[in-house]
Amino acid sequence: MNDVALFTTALRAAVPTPPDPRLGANLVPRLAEVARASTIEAETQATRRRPRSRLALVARVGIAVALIPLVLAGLAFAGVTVPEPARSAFHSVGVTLPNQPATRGERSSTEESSGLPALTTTTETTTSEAQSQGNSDAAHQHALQQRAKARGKAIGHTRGKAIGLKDLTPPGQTGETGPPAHSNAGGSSASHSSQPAPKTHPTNVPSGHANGHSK
Amino acid sequence: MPPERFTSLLEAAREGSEAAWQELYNGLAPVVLGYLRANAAPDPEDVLSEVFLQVARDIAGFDGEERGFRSWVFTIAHHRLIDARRHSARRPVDLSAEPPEPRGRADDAADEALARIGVEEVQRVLSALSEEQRAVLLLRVIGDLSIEDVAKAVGKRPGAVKALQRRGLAAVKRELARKGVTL
Repeated sequence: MNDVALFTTALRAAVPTPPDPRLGANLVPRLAEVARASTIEAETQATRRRPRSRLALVARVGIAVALIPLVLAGLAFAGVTVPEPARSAFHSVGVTLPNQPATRGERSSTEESSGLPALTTTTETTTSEAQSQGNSDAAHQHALQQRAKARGKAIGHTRGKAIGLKDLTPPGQTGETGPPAHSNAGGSSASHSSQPAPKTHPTNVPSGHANGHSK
Repeated sequence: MPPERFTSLLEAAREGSEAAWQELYNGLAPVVLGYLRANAAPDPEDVLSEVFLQVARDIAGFDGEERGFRSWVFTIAHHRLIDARRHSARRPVDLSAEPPEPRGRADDAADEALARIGVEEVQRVLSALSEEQRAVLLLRVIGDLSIEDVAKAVGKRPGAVKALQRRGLAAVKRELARKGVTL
């Protein structure tokens, strides 16, 4: 056996020392009492914790649900357009969110309730209506400009240039109809004549589209 | 002790059986006290009481077998030792000031003789080690803890514990050779 192994054997034999018997006599009953108390306390805490944790979970869920409309309202106040289902939900409980475009449902209900078009009942709907009209007016004007541009090009064409062949009769004068009616090739044969073409508007223009639009 | 026996003993101790606590105390108090004394704990029996009181307070949360329980008790003992040293904040380690009394083993005369012959020399060699080397060696030899358990107890990595143990054993060997001691 080497020195180190002998030393550890001696260490095992030498180091353990019996404590004073009086210490054990006093300490052991106390240990039993402390252990009993701590075990009871641990069990009590374990039984208390369960309902508390369930209650906390329910409370957390409730708070989260209650926060949703508050968050949506806050977003609306900040100028964010909230989704239509959320708006209609607010509307159903009689709350109108600010900074929101009028929905169809709101418009029609307003019309129904007042018997007048929504345009004349509330300023809010007027504004949104005007906005939508402005958009469609702009689109309409753009379309007219495009048409006028195309017409101008067509008017400026000489015979040969327009057709590309000097001796041939332009299609508009030979009874040909030119490009088909559904084509967007730059206007109909009428646009080649000197007379201006009669202005045609789309038939499905809404009633409010004439507002602010000069023909 | 068979595992089933230890489990029932632990359960009885949790429920506050004095007999169970007496058995646990008798089994562990001598080695824990020896560990504390060998590490020059200030007032080792007082620290021993604190160790067992903490064991009693926390036993409801302990779950494990006998070896784990022993390791847990020694971990508490090591922490209480450090606390006691901090509170006393006094003289450097002087193991010769209060030599431990060896535990009597009447059934083994050879061990008894070895222990008695070696006690002073063992104390001298231990006092030559650094504080950390001594703690690691005592936890390994007296506490019978694994490297991992010692690492948890002293708050170091297993590699660091191995290095401390290696250096401690080298110091023991050197010290024994220097004095020409043959155990």
